[in-house]
Amino acid sequence: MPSSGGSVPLDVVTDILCSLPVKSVLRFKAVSKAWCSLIDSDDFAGFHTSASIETNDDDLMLVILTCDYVVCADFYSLDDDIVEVDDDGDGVASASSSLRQAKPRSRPFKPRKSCTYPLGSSCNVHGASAKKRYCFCSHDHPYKLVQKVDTREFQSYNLEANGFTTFHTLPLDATRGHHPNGHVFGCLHVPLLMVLYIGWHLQVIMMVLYIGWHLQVIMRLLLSISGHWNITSCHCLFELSMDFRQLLGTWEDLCVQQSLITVKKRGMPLLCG
Amino acid sequence: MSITTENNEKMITLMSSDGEEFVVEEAVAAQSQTIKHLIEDGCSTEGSIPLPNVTGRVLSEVIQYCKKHSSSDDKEEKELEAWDAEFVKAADDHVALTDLMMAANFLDIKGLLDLVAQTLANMITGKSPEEVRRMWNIKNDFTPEEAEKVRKENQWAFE
Repeated sequence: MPSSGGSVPLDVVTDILCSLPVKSVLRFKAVSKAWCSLIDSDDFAGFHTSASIETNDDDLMLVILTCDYVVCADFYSLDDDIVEVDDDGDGVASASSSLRQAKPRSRPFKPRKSCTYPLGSSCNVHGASAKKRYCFCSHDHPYKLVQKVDTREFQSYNLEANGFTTFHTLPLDATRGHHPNGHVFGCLHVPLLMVLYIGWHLQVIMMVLYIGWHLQVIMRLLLSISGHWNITSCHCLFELSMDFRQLLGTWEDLCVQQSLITVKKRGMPLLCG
Repeated sequence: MSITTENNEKMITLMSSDGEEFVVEEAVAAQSQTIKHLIEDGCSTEGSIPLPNVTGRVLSEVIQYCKKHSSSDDKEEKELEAWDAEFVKAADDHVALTDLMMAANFLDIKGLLDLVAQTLANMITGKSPEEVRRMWNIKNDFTPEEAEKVRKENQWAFE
Protein backbone atom coordinates (compact mmCIF):
# COMPACT_ATOMS: atom_id res chain seq x y z
CA MET A 1 0.00 0.00 0.00
CA PRO A 2 1.44 3.34 -0.89
CA SER A 3 2.22 5.32 2.19
CA SER A 4 0.04 8.31 2.22
CA GLY A 5 2.78 9.99 4.11
CA GLY A 6 5.53 11.24 1.92
CA SER A 7 3.50 12.64 -0.86
CA VAL A 8 0.14 14.02 -0.12
CA PRO A 9 -0.62 15.72 -3.40
CA LEU A 10 -1.23 19.40 -3.12
CA ASP A 11 -4.72 19.20 -4.54
CA VAL A 12 -5.59 16.88 -1.69
CA VAL A 13 -3.95 19.25 0.74
CA THR A 14 -6.00 22.04 -0.78
CA ASP A 15 -9.20 20.18 -0.10
CA ILE A 16 -8.26 19.58 3.48
CA LEU A 17 -7.11 23.12 4.10
CA CYS A 18 -10.27 24.45 2.58
CA SER A 19 -12.18 22.79 5.37
CA LEU A 20 -10.11 24.48 8.03
CA PRO A 21 -10.66 27.75 9.78
CA VAL A 22 -8.44 30.60 8.79
CA LYS A 23 -6.38 30.46 11.90
CA SER A 24 -5.30 26.90 11.29
CA VAL A 25 -4.68 27.58 7.64
CA LEU A 26 -2.36 30.45 8.39
CA ARG A 27 -0.54 28.45 11.00
CA PHE A 28 0.04 25.69 8.48
CA LYS A 29 1.90 28.04 6.24
CA ALA A 30 4.76 27.02 8.47
CA VAL A 31 4.47 23.36 7.50
CA SER A 32 6.55 23.58 4.35
CA LYS A 33 7.33 25.88 1.49
CA ALA A 34 4.92 24.04 -0.75
CA TRP A 35 2.12 24.50 1.75
CA CYS A 36 3.08 28.08 2.26
CA SER A 37 2.96 29.01 -1.39
CA LEU A 38 -0.22 27.03 -1.83
CA ILE A 39 -1.89 28.97 0.94
CA ASP A 40 -0.58 32.25 -0.35
CA SER A 41 -1.93 31.70 -3.81
CA ASP A 42 -4.91 33.63 -5.00
CA ASP A 43 -6.47 30.44 -6.19
CA PHE A 44 -6.40 28.94 -2.77
CA ALA A 45 -7.98 31.97 -1.22
CA GLY A 46 -10.74 31.66 -3.74
CA PHE A 47 -11.28 27.99 -2.99
CA HIS A 48 -11.22 28.57 0.70
CA THR A 49 -13.64 31.41 0.45
CA SER A 50 -16.13 29.45 -1.56
CA ALA A 51 -15.76 26.50 0.74
CA SER A 52 -16.41 28.71 3.73
CA ILE A 53 -19.41 30.18 2.08
CA GLU A 54 -20.72 26.79 1.15
CA THR A 55 -20.44 25.30 4.57
CA ASN A 56 -20.78 28.49 6.50
CA ASP A 57 -20.48 26.78 9.79
CA ASP A 58 -18.29 29.38 11.29
CA ASP A 59 -17.76 32.97 10.58
CA LEU A 60 -14.28 32.67 9.30
CA MET A 61 -13.42 33.19 5.78
CA LEU A 62 -10.16 33.49 4.04
CA VAL A 63 -10.28 36.35 1.70
CA ILE A 64 -7.92 38.31 -0.40
CA LEU A 65 -8.41 41.77 -1.60
CA THR A 66 -8.20 41.68 -5.28
CA CYS A 67 -11.25 43.61 -6.01
CA ASP A 68 -11.24 47.07 -7.25
CA TYR A 69 -13.69 48.66 -5.00
CA VAL A 70 -12.46 48.10 -1.59
CA VAL A 71 -10.52 50.23 0.70
CA CYS A 72 -9.10 48.85 3.77
CA ALA A 73 -6.10 49.17 5.88
CA ASP A 74 -4.45 47.46 8.67
CA PHE A 75 -4.40 50.27 11.05
CA TYR A 76 -2.23 48.47 13.41
CA SER A 77 0.62 48.60 11.02
CA LEU A 78 -0.15 51.95 9.70
CA ASP A 79 2.70 53.76 8.13
CA ASP A 80 3.26 56.48 5.64
CA ASP A 81 1.96 54.83 2.61
CA ILE A 82 -1.02 53.18 4.04
CA VAL A 83 -3.10 53.02 0.99
CA GLU A 84 -2.42 51.19 -2.14
CA VAL A 85 -4.14 51.66 -5.37
CA ASP A 86 -4.69 48.91 -7.76
CA ASP A 87 -2.98 49.65 -11.00
CA ASP A 88 -5.92 48.83 -13.09
CA GLY A 89 -8.14 49.64 -10.25
CA ASP A 90 -11.34 51.41 -10.36
CA GLY A 91 -11.09 51.77 -6.72
CA VAL A 92 -8.68 51.63 -3.98
CA ALA A 93 -7.24 48.82 -2.14
CA SER A 94 -4.88 48.94 0.67
CA ALA A 95 -2.58 48.36 2.99
CA SER A 96 -1.17 45.94 5.44
CA SER A 97 2.02 44.13 4.72
CA SER A 98 0.16 40.93 4.11
CA LEU A 99 -2.07 42.65 1.69
CA ARG A 100 0.78 44.01 -0.24
CA GLN A 101 1.98 40.55 -0.79
CA ALA A 102 -1.41 39.53 -1.88
CA LYS A 103 -1.47 42.27 -4.42
CA PRO A 104 1.69 42.07 -6.39
CA ARG A 105 0.36 44.32 -9.05
CA SER A 106 -0.47 47.13 -6.79
CA ARG A 107 1.73 50.09 -6.35
CA PRO A 108 2.01 52.09 -3.22
CA PHE A 109 -0.12 55.09 -2.97
CA LYS A 110 0.40 57.71 -0.43
CA PRO A 111 -2.53 59.81 0.51
CA ARG A 112 -1.65 63.34 -0.25
CA LYS A 113 -2.86 66.59 1.02
CA SER A 114 -2.95 67.92 -2.47
CA CYS A 115 -5.20 65.33 -3.86
CA THR A 116 -4.78 64.85 -7.53
CA TYR A 117 -8.37 63.93 -7.79
CA PRO A 118 -11.06 66.37 -7.16
CA LEU A 119 -12.62 65.61 -3.90
CA GLY A 120 -16.28 65.94 -4.02
CA SER A 121 -16.48 66.73 -7.67
CA SER A 122 -15.75 63.25 -8.76
CA CYS A 123 -19.24 62.17 -8.19
CA ASN A 124 -20.14 63.47 -11.58
CA VAL A 125 -17.56 61.49 -13.37
CA HIS A 126 -18.68 58.57 -15.41
CA GLY A 127 -17.14 56.00 -17.59
CA ALA A 128 -13.51 55.50 -18.33
CA SER A 129 -12.27 58.66 -16.76
CA ALA A 130 -13.56 57.36 -13.52
CA LYS A 131 -10.91 54.74 -13.54
CA LYS A 132 -8.21 57.07 -12.52
CA ARG A 133 -10.04 58.51 -9.63
CA TYR A 134 -9.76 56.99 -6.32
CA CYS A 135 -11.50 59.34 -4.12
CA PHE A 136 -14.50 59.27 -2.03
CA CYS A 137 -17.00 61.19 -3.99
CA SER A 138 -19.39 62.33 -1.44
CA HIS A 139 -18.35 65.90 -0.95
CA ASP A 140 -19.63 66.26 2.52
CA HIS A 141 -18.47 62.92 3.77
CA PRO A 142 -14.93 62.42 2.79
CA TYR A 143 -14.39 59.43 4.98
CA LYS A 144 -12.35 56.81 3.38
CA LEU A 145 -11.85 54.20 5.93
CA VAL A 146 -13.40 53.50 9.14
CA GLN A 147 -11.87 51.54 11.86
CA LYS A 148 -13.08 50.53 15.16
CA VAL A 149 -10.74 51.28 17.98
CA ASP A 150 -12.80 49.65 20.63
CA THR A 151 -16.45 49.03 21.12
CA ARG A 152 -17.16 52.68 21.57
CA GLU A 153 -14.61 54.46 19.55
CA PHE A 154 -14.20 54.64 15.84
CA GLN A 155 -11.74 56.35 13.67
CA SER A 156 -12.04 57.20 10.11
CA TYR A 157 -9.50 58.23 7.65
CA ASN A 158 -10.55 61.47 6.24
CA LEU A 159 -9.20 62.20 2.84
CA GLU A 160 -9.80 65.85 3.04
CA ALA A 161 -7.92 66.17 6.25
CA ASN A 162 -5.50 63.48 5.27
CA GLY A 163 -5.71 62.07 8.71
CA PHE A 164 -7.79 60.18 11.16
CA THR A 165 -10.72 61.51 12.99
CA THR A 166 -12.02 59.89 16.08
CA PHE A 167 -15.64 59.71 16.91
CA HIS A 168 -17.73 57.77 19.28
CA THR A 169 -20.65 56.76 17.28
CA LEU A 170 -20.45 55.17 13.98
CA PRO A 171 -20.44 57.78 11.28
CA LEU A 172 -23.35 56.40 9.47
CA ASP A 173 -23.15 59.22 7.07
CA ALA A 174 -19.81 57.96 6.12
CA THR A 175 -21.46 54.84 5.00
CA ARG A 176 -23.70 56.61 2.63
CA GLY A 177 -22.18 57.56 -0.58
CA HIS A 178 -25.55 58.37 -1.82
CA HIS A 179 -25.36 61.67 -3.45
CA PRO A 180 -27.89 63.47 -5.55
CA ASN A 181 -25.31 64.18 -8.16
CA GLY A 182 -24.91 60.56 -8.81
CA HIS A 183 -21.93 58.39 -8.35
CA VAL A 184 -19.17 56.87 -10.22
CA PHE A 185 -19.20 53.25 -10.86
CA GLY A 186 -15.86 52.01 -9.79
CA CYS A 187 -14.90 54.91 -7.69
CA LEU A 188 -14.84 54.52 -4.07
CA HIS A 189 -17.54 56.88 -3.41
CA VAL A 190 -19.48 54.82 -1.05
CA PRO A 191 -18.71 53.37 2.17
CA LEU A 192 -16.59 50.78 2.75
CA LEU A 193 -16.74 50.21 6.25
CA MET A 194 -14.26 47.95 7.56
CA VAL A 195 -13.82 47.36 11.13
CA LEU A 196 -10.59 46.08 12.38
CA TYR A 197 -10.25 44.77 15.76
CA ILE A 198 -7.91 44.19 18.45
CA GLY A 199 -4.78 42.23 18.43
CA TRP A 200 -4.07 40.15 15.47
CA HIS A 201 -7.59 39.50 14.53
CA LEU A 202 -9.25 41.34 11.84
CA GLN A 203 -12.52 40.75 13.35
CA VAL A 204 -14.95 42.50 11.19
CA ILE A 205 -15.02 43.52 7.68
CA MET A 206 -18.12 45.26 6.88
CA MET A 207 -18.80 46.76 3.61
CA VAL A 208 -22.04 48.42 3.27
CA LEU A 209 -23.47 50.53 0.62
CA TYR A 210 -26.54 52.46 1.12
CA ILE A 211 -28.29 52.03 -2.13
CA GLY A 212 -29.60 48.80 -3.42
CA TRP A 213 -27.86 49.04 -6.70
CA HIS A 214 -24.59 49.36 -4.93
CA LEU A 215 -25.26 46.51 -2.67
CA GLN A 216 -24.87 44.18 -5.52
CA VAL A 217 -21.48 45.56 -6.21
CA ILE A 218 -20.52 45.14 -2.68
CA MET A 219 -21.60 41.61 -2.48
CA ARG A 220 -19.65 40.72 -5.51
CA LEU A 221 -16.76 42.10 -3.66
CA LEU A 222 -17.43 40.18 -0.63
CA LEU A 223 -17.41 37.00 -2.53
CA SER A 224 -14.36 37.74 -4.57
CA ILE A 225 -12.36 39.32 -1.89
CA SER A 226 -9.29 37.55 -1.06
CA GLY A 227 -6.57 37.90 1.45
CA HIS A 228 -5.86 36.62 4.81
CA TRP A 229 -8.49 38.05 6.96
CA ASN A 230 -10.29 36.62 9.78
CA ILE A 231 -13.75 37.82 9.35
CA THR A 232 -16.34 37.60 11.98
CA SER A 233 -19.09 39.38 10.34
CA CYS A 234 -21.68 38.92 12.95
CA HIS A 235 -19.80 40.90 15.50
CA CYS A 236 -20.34 43.98 13.56
CA LEU A 237 -24.00 43.43 13.85
CA PHE A 238 -23.81 43.35 17.53
CA GLU A 239 -21.87 46.44 17.68
CA LEU A 240 -23.19 48.53 14.94
CA SER A 241 -26.17 50.65 15.17
CA MET A 242 -29.73 49.96 14.38
CA ASP A 243 -29.44 51.61 11.06
CA PHE A 244 -26.84 49.17 10.14
CA ARG A 245 -29.01 46.28 10.83
CA GLN A 246 -31.53 47.82 8.62
CA LEU A 247 -28.98 47.86 5.92
CA LEU A 248 -28.63 44.20 6.46
CA GLY A 249 -32.26 43.90 5.89
CA THR A 250 -31.58 45.34 2.53
CA TRP A 251 -29.08 42.65 1.90
CA GLU A 252 -31.70 40.15 2.60
CA ASP A 253 -34.03 41.86 0.21
CA LEU A 254 -31.39 41.32 -2.37
CA CYS A 255 -31.28 37.68 -1.50
CA VAL A 256 -27.84 37.99 -0.13
CA GLN A 257 -28.01 35.19 2.30
CA GLN A 258 -24.47 34.68 3.33
CA SER A 259 -24.12 37.23 6.04
CA LEU A 260 -27.55 36.58 7.26
CA ILE A 261 -27.05 32.93 7.84
CA THR A 262 -24.20 33.72 10.11
CA VAL A 263 -26.26 36.21 11.91
CA LYS A 264 -29.13 33.91 12.41
CA LYS A 265 -26.90 31.32 13.87
CA ARG A 266 -25.86 33.77 16.47
CA GLY A 267 -29.44 34.40 17.29
CA MET A 268 -29.38 37.99 16.23
CA PRO A 269 -32.74 39.46 15.61
CA LEU A 270 -32.86 40.56 12.06
CA LEU A 271 -34.46 43.74 11.16
CA CYS A 272 -35.59 43.86 7.67
CA GLY A 273 -35.33 47.15 5.95
CA MET B 1 -16.91 -6.47 -18.89
CA SER B 2 -20.58 -5.65 -18.97
CA ILE B 3 -22.89 -8.01 -17.29
CA THR B 4 -26.54 -7.42 -16.59
CA THR B 5 -28.36 -8.45 -13.45
CA GLU B 6 -31.89 -9.71 -13.22
CA ASN B 7 -33.32 -6.29 -12.73
CA ASN B 8 -31.45 -5.13 -15.75
CA GLU B 9 -28.88 -3.14 -13.84
CA LYS B 10 -25.71 -2.95 -15.81
CA MET B 11 -22.71 -4.18 -13.91
CA ILE B 12 -19.16 -3.16 -14.41
CA THR B 13 -15.91 -4.48 -13.05
CA LEU B 14 -13.31 -2.34 -11.38
CA MET B 15 -9.81 -3.52 -10.84
CA SER B 16 -7.66 -2.14 -8.07
CA SER B 17 -3.93 -1.49 -8.32
CA ASP B 18 -3.24 -4.79 -6.60
CA GLY B 19 -5.37 -6.73 -9.01
CA GLU B 20 -8.48 -7.18 -6.96
CA GLU B 21 -11.71 -7.10 -8.95
CA PHE B 22 -14.96 -5.58 -7.84
CA VAL B 23 -18.19 -6.03 -9.69
CA VAL B 24 -20.56 -3.17 -9.04
CA GLU B 25 -23.66 -1.70 -10.53
CA GLU B 26 -22.91 0.98 -13.03
CA ALA B 27 -24.97 3.49 -11.10
CA VAL B 28 -22.80 2.88 -8.08
CA ALA B 29 -19.54 3.19 -9.95
CA ALA B 30 -20.74 6.24 -11.81
CA GLN B 31 -20.72 8.21 -8.58
CA SER B 32 -17.12 8.55 -9.46
CA GLN B 33 -16.89 11.13 -12.19
CA THR B 34 -13.67 9.56 -13.34
CA ILE B 35 -15.30 6.17 -13.82
CA LYS B 36 -18.39 7.73 -15.27
CA HIS B 37 -16.32 9.35 -17.97
CA LEU B 38 -14.48 6.13 -18.60
CA ILE B 39 -17.80 4.37 -19.02
CA GLU B 40 -19.04 7.07 -21.33
CA ASP B 41 -15.90 6.72 -23.37
CA GLY B 42 -16.61 3.04 -23.72
CA CYS B 43 -13.79 1.82 -21.52
CA SER B 44 -15.99 -0.51 -19.57
CA THR B 45 -17.13 -2.61 -22.47
CA GLU B 46 -13.97 -4.64 -22.63
CA GLY B 47 -12.86 -6.26 -19.45
CA SER B 48 -12.55 -4.40 -16.21
CA ILE B 49 -11.70 -0.80 -15.57
CA PRO B 50 -8.23 -0.61 -14.08
CA LEU B 51 -7.74 1.86 -11.28
CA PRO B 52 -4.00 1.94 -10.88
CA ASN B 53 -4.03 4.50 -8.09
CA VAL B 54 -6.36 2.71 -5.75
CA THR B 55 -5.64 -0.39 -3.71
CA GLY B 56 -8.24 -3.07 -3.18
CA ARG B 57 -8.62 -2.20 0.46
CA VAL B 58 -9.32 1.42 -0.27
CA LEU B 59 -11.46 0.64 -3.28
CA SER B 60 -13.72 -1.59 -1.24
CA GLU B 61 -14.29 1.28 1.16
CA VAL B 62 -14.97 3.64 -1.69
CA ILE B 63 -17.46 1.22 -3.17
CA GLN B 64 -19.14 0.86 0.18
CA TYR B 65 -19.60 4.60 0.23
CA CYS B 66 -20.83 4.78 -3.33
CA LYS B 67 -23.31 1.96 -2.77
CA LYS B 68 -24.76 3.68 0.22
CA HIS B 69 -25.00 6.98 -1.54
CA SER B 70 -26.50 5.67 -4.72
CA SER B 71 -29.22 3.80 -2.89
CA SER B 72 -30.29 6.66 -0.66
CA ASP B 73 -32.42 9.52 -1.67
CA ASP B 74 -32.79 12.93 -0.12
CA LYS B 75 -35.37 11.86 2.37
CA GLU B 76 -32.83 9.82 4.17
CA GLU B 77 -30.43 12.67 4.57
CA LYS B 78 -30.24 12.38 8.34
CA GLU B 79 -29.61 8.71 8.22
CA LEU B 80 -27.03 9.21 5.52
CA GLU B 81 -25.23 11.74 7.63
CA ALA B 82 -25.07 9.31 10.50
CA TRP B 83 -23.85 6.66 8.15
CA ASP B 84 -21.13 8.97 6.84
CA ALA B 85 -20.02 9.74 10.35
CA GLU B 86 -19.72 6.04 11.11
CA PHE B 87 -17.99 5.45 7.83
CA VAL B 88 -15.15 7.89 8.50
CA LYS B 89 -14.98 6.79 12.07
CA ALA B 90 -14.26 3.29 10.89
CA ALA B 91 -11.32 4.52 8.85
CA ASP B 92 -10.24 6.33 11.94
CA ASP B 93 -6.57 7.03 11.53
CA HIS B 94 -5.23 9.72 9.31
CA VAL B 95 -3.26 7.34 7.12
CA ALA B 96 -6.36 5.41 6.14
CA LEU B 97 -8.27 8.62 5.71
CA THR B 98 -5.57 10.12 3.56
CA ASP B 99 -5.59 7.04 1.35
CA LEU B 100 -9.32 7.34 1.09
CA MET B 101 -9.03 10.99 0.31
CA MET B 102 -6.51 10.40 -2.43
CA ALA B 103 -8.75 7.76 -3.92
CA ALA B 104 -11.74 10.07 -3.75
CA ASN B 105 -9.64 12.71 -5.39
CA PHE B 106 -8.51 10.43 -8.17
CA LEU B 107 -11.95 8.96 -8.67
CA ASP B 108 -13.51 12.37 -8.39
CA ILE B 109 -16.28 11.60 -5.91
CA LYS B 110 -17.15 14.95 -4.50
CA GLY B 111 -19.26 13.83 -1.58
CA LEU B 112 -16.62 11.46 -0.32
CA LEU B 113 -13.89 13.97 -0.90
CA ASP B 114 -15.69 16.60 1.13
CA LEU B 115 -16.50 14.14 3.85
CA VAL B 116 -12.96 12.91 4.27
CA ALA B 117 -11.46 16.37 3.85
CA GLN B 118 -13.65 17.63 6.64
CA THR B 119 -12.72 14.71 8.83
CA LEU B 120 -9.03 15.23 8.27
CA ALA B 121 -9.44 18.94 8.75
CA ASN B 122 -11.10 18.30 12.07
CA MET B 123 -8.18 16.13 13.04
CA ILE B 124 -5.56 18.73 12.30
CA THR B 125 -7.31 21.95 13.05
CA GLY B 126 -5.71 22.46 16.43
CA LYS B 127 -2.39 20.90 15.60
CA SER B 128 0.95 22.59 15.27
CA PRO B 129 2.79 22.70 11.95
CA GLU B 130 5.25 20.23 13.41
CA GLU B 131 2.51 17.75 14.22
CA VAL B 132 1.09 18.10 10.74
CA ARG B 133 4.50 17.44 9.24
CA ARG B 134 4.80 14.30 11.31
CA MET B 135 1.38 13.09 10.24
CA TRP B 136 2.23 13.19 6.58
CA ASN B 137 6.01 12.92 6.67
CA ILE B 138 6.37 16.36 5.25
CA LYS B 139 9.85 17.74 5.24
CA ASN B 140 10.33 21.10 6.84
CA ASP B 141 12.22 22.89 4.11
CA PHE B 142 12.26 26.29 5.74
CA THR B 143 15.45 27.75 7.02
CA PRO B 144 15.13 28.87 10.64
CA GLU B 145 14.99 32.48 9.42
CA GLU B 146 12.23 31.73 6.94
CA ALA B 147 10.32 29.78 9.52
CA GLU B 148 10.56 32.67 11.91
CA LYS B 149 9.34 35.05 9.24
CA VAL B 150 6.29 32.95 8.44
CA ARG B 151 5.55 32.68 12.09
CA LYS B 152 5.91 36.36 12.69
CA GLU B 153 3.69 37.30 9.80
CA ASN B 154 0.97 35.09 11.12
CA GLN B 155 1.59 35.50 14.77
CA TRP B 156 -1.99 35.35 15.87
CA ALA B 157 -2.46 32.00 14.24
CA PHE B 158 0.15 30.55 16.52
CA GLU B 159 -1.27 31.87 19.72
